[in-house]
Amino acid sequence: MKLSRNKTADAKERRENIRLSGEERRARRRSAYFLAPSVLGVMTFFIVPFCVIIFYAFVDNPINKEFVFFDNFVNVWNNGAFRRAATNTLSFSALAVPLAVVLSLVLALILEAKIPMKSRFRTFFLSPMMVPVASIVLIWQVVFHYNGALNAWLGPLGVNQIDWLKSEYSHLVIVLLFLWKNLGYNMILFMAAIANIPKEPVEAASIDGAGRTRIFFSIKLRYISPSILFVTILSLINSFKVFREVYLLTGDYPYETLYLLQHFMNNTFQSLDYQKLSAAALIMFAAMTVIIGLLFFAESRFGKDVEN
Amino acid sequence: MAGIVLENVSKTYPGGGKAVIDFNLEIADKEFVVLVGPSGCGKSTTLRMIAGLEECTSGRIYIGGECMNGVEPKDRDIAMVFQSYALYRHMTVYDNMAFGLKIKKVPKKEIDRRVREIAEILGLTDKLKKKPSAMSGGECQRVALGRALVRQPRVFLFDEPLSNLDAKLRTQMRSEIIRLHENVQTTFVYVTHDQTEAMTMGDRIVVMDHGVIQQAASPREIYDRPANMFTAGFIGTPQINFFKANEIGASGSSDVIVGIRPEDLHLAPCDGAVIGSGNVEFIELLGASMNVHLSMNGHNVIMTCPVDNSIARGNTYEIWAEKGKSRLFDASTGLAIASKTEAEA
Repeated sequence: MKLSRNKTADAKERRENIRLSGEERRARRRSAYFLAPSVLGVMTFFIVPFCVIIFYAFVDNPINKEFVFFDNFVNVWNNGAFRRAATNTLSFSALAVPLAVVLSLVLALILEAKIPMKSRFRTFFLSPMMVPVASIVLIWQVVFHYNGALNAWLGPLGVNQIDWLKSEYSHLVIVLLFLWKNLGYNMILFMAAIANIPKEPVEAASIDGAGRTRIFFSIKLRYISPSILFVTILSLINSFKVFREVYLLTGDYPYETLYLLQHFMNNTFQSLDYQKLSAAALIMFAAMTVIIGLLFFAESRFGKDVEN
Repeated sequence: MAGIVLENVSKTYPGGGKAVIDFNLEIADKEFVVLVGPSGCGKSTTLRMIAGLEECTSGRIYIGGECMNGVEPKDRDIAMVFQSYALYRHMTVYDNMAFGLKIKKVPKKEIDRRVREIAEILGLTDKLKKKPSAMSGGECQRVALGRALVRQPRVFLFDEPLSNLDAKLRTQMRSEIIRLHENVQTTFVYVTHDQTEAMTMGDRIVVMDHGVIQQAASPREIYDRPANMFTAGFIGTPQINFFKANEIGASGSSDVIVGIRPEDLHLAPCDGAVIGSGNVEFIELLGASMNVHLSMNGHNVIMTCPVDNSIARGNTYEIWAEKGKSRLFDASTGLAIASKTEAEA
C-alpha cells in the first residue's frame, strides 16, 4: 500500500519535472529569438572574418590555397615596415597608456578635494569627448603645422620653426592629442571609483596613525584597483584607435615615428596582400591577448578582496 | 592612559542642523563611560569629535590635559572600534592588527609579539593568516577589537560595536569588553542605542537626546533616580509607566506625573496602595518572568512579575504600586521633583 503511494508520488513528480523543463524550453527559445540578431551581427562581422583570417594566414594565396605553415608569419616578422610599425605602436602605447591612467587619477584626486568650481572643471575635461575627430584634427593641424600657431607663438621667443608632425616631436604631439581626448572620461571613471571607497576603513586608518599619503597608498589605491585596471584596458584599446587621428593628420605614409600598425595593415590591405595582413593581425591578436590576460590576472589578485 | 574633558562642545552642520549642543563632560582616567540615546541624539557625533573625525563647531576637547582642537586623528593616540568593523579587507588578520604599529615604526619582533599576544587573548591565533572576507561577523569584530588593543592607546572609543552581531554573540562580546576594560585599565568611551548595553557595561552612563545631555550618572542612579521623564522612559525595559498624579488617587495636582517601573507594580496586595483596576490585554511570557499588559481607564500599563498561570487574559485585577518606589516629575518641564522622591500613593 505504502509502496504504491510512493510510486504515484514519484510519477507525479516526474510529470512536474517534464512540465517544468517544457516551460524552460519555451523560455530558452524565446530568449534565442531576442539574441539572434546580435549573434548574427557578431558572427558576420567578427567571428567569421576572424576564422577567414586564420585560414588566410596559413595558405600561400587565396586562389591556390596551399598550406604553408608559418611562412607568412616569418615573412611578416622579418618585414621592416611591420617591425617599425609594431615598435612605434608599442612605444606609443607604453608612453600614452600609463600617462593617461596616472594623470586622470591625479586629476580625479584633485577634483575630489574641496576646490572651487569643481563642476566647471569636470565639464571642461569632458568636453574633448564631444568634439568630432575631424574638428580635433583641424585644430591640431592649425596648432602644429610648420607655419602653424605654435611656431608663430614660439618664434618671438627665439625658438626656430619646428615641423612638429614631421620630426622626433611628432610622437609627443600624438601623445598630447591622445591625452587631451581621453583624460576627461578616465577622470570621471576614477571619480566614481573614489566616491565608492567605503568611509570606515579610511577613518580607521587615520585613527591607526596613517597620514594622507599612507592612506592613499595602503587603503584607497587598493579599493580603486579594479577601476585602474578597467581604465588601463580602455586606454590601451583607445591607444590603438589613435590611428584615426594620425591618419587624418598625416595620410598613408607619415613621418617614420608615426607609422603605426594600422598604417601597415591599411597599406597591406590596399595592396591586397591578404597573407601578410592576416598574419600581422594574428600576431597583434596574440600580443593583445597576452597583455589583457596579464591585466586580468593582476585584477583578480588585487581586486578580489575589495570588490563586493 | 588619559582622561577626557569636553568643554562647551557644540556641533552644527553646514545645513544648520545642530547635532550636539553645549556638551560638557569630564571623563576620568580609566573610566568606562557609555553614551546612550535614540538615533540622531548626537552620541556618535560626540564620539567622532573626540576621535578627531569631525571638528567641533565650538568648544574644546582635551585628552590627557592637552587641547585636541585641530589635532589630526592620527596624532591623538586613540583607538576606535566601528559598528561595521572597518577592517582592511585586502589585508590578513595579522596585517590588520599590525597596521598601526607598522606606521609607528615599532620593531618587527615587537609587532609580532604584541599581535600574537592579543590574538591569543581574543582567540584569533589560528585565524591570523585569514582575510576578513573569510570570517564571521563575530570574528571580524574581534579583529577590530584586536587592532585597537595592540596599539595600547590612551583612549578606546567604541561606536556601536555590537549592533551588527546576533543576540547571543552580543551578550558574549559584551562581557568580553567588560573584562578587557578591567585588564587594560584604559579610558573607554562607548556609544550605543541599546540601554541594556549601557546599563551592564558602563561605570557611568550619559543619556543624550537632541544633542543635549539629559543625565550623566552611574547606572544605578540613572535607573533609581532619573533626572527627567526622558531618562526615566529611555532606561529600563519594559518602559516605565507614567500616570497623572490625580488619576491614580495620589495627592497632588494634574501637573505632577508619577512614574512607576513595571516591576514595582503588582496584581496582589503588597506594601503600598491600589492605583486602580486594570484589564489584562495580553501577556508576554519571557521564561522566568512575564510582562502583563493591562488597560486601566484607557491607559496602557505594563507590569513585570514572576510567571503566574492564574493571571489570565481578559480578567480584571486591582493594580498595586509598591510604597516608596515611585518617581515624581513636573508635567510642564519633565524634570524630576527632587523634594518628593516618594509618591504618596
